[in-house]
Amino acid sequence: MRELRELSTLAPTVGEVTDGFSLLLDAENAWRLPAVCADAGAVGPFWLAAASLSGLGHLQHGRTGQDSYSFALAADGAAMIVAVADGLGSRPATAQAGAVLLTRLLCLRLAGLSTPEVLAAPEDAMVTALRAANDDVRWYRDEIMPGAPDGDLATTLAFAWIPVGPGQEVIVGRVGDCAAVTLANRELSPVFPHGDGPLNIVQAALPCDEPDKALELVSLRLGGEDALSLMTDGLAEDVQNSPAIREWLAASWSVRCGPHQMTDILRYRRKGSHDDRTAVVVWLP
Amino acid sequence: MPKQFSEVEQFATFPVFLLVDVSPSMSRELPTLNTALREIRTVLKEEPDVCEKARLAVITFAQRATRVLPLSDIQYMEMPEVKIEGQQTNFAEAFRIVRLEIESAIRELGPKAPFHTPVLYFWTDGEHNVPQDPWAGPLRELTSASNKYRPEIVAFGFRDADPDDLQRIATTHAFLARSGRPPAEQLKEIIAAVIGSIKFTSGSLRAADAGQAPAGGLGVPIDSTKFIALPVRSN
Repeated sequence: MRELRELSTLAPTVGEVTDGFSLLLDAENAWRLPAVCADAGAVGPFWLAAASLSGLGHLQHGRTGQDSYSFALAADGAAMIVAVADGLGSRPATAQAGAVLLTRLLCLRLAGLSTPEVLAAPEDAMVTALRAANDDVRWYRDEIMPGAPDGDLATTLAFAWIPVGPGQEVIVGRVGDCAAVTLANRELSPVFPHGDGPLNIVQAALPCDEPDKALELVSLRLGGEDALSLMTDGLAEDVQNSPAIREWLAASWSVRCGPHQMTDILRYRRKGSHDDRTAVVVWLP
Repeated sequence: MPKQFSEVEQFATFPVFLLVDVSPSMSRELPTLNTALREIRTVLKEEPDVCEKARLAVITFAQRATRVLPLSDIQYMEMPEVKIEGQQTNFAEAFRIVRLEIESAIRELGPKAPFHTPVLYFWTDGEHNVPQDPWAGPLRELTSASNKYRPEIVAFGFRDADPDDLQRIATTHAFLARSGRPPAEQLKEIIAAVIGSIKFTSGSLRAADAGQAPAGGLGVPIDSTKFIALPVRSN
């Protein structure tokens, strides 16, 4: 067998894991995503780091990862917007297109809102933007995949609207089982309650007919927190169910990180954790 | 803010249950059945994603139903030899026992332990023949939306299996082996399809509710030259 060289990692291994995963790329799928994506840098007064890694499960079976993230600074410069999305594995050829479209189109819609407008009626503003992004996704879908049903692009979503000024309310929303956590004093805290029932059944996804009915919204006043993170369910389930991974992430994100470091942080190995992993972390000024 | 992270390490589990007909009509195929059951473990043990997530249980049924393998880690389990039992084929008893087994097995994983929808692979070579114990009620209890641990059911039939029964029993997929080949071959092909389905589903576990993609990512890749796919009629 030919030698394969890869960078070592400091990320932990949790539980009894198995060797032998393949690295098969989805060469037949024109809509495949890169298996590794990362960004880090300043966005307005904030520091952002984001990474998205295709899961071992996808690579083992030669399928593309299906997560996506995006971010934007509001047109008036007074808020930052971040979003993550997770295309559903039951549509392995196309759902990632829904995730990519939704993160970008929602960021675009949210960035177009004026900050006073959002602060005056946050829920209305978020619902309006989400409905518009949902319609936008369907419009693009009809252009690029005529005849495809909503389910072909089915994706879950989490997003945050973070005003620049100190002490103002941050608005965090989600559809489906993406998650958000805050980080303070090297400890993660969940923003949304964790759902019950089997892991593989997602209660809501976009695009759909009534996106506002699927939307959960939370307003936060971030005081002593260091950072806010949005994550897709592959990472969120590990955060939920693993003290070791929470400790690793909290320690790792206790300082701002660059794109390579952010990628490496998500390279931990955990028994049964084979889903895509995507996180966007925003450190407050 | 909600504070509800788990304080202990909990690993996600994909529970797989095999509900195996061992009524007297299966006598000639018993060696094939035992060989094929061992093959399930041998093949799945080589699949790293399956190995880390899937747990396997085996329940046999004839006149009565018996758990012969509790929900077990594929890496460490030994597949038991199954044997022919009783004089009748009682689907009702099979569904009652498997419902109890699924619930107790998932509860034993621990409180709030993460699990994927259980999948029940059912196969039979005949029909229910205990008329005083109808099976529709026990099946309804097993698949009821009020059953937190309700499985998705994939049903296979061969030889004298009634296609109508398979269509009612299955929640997602029902297959009848095409005739013209020896029953032992048909049984081997059923078990190969079960292996393929476990492998496929372990790698594609998530799907939306609300009719977008039923069955939580469950897939059953089959060779259509060997099986007739039947429309599912379950509730």
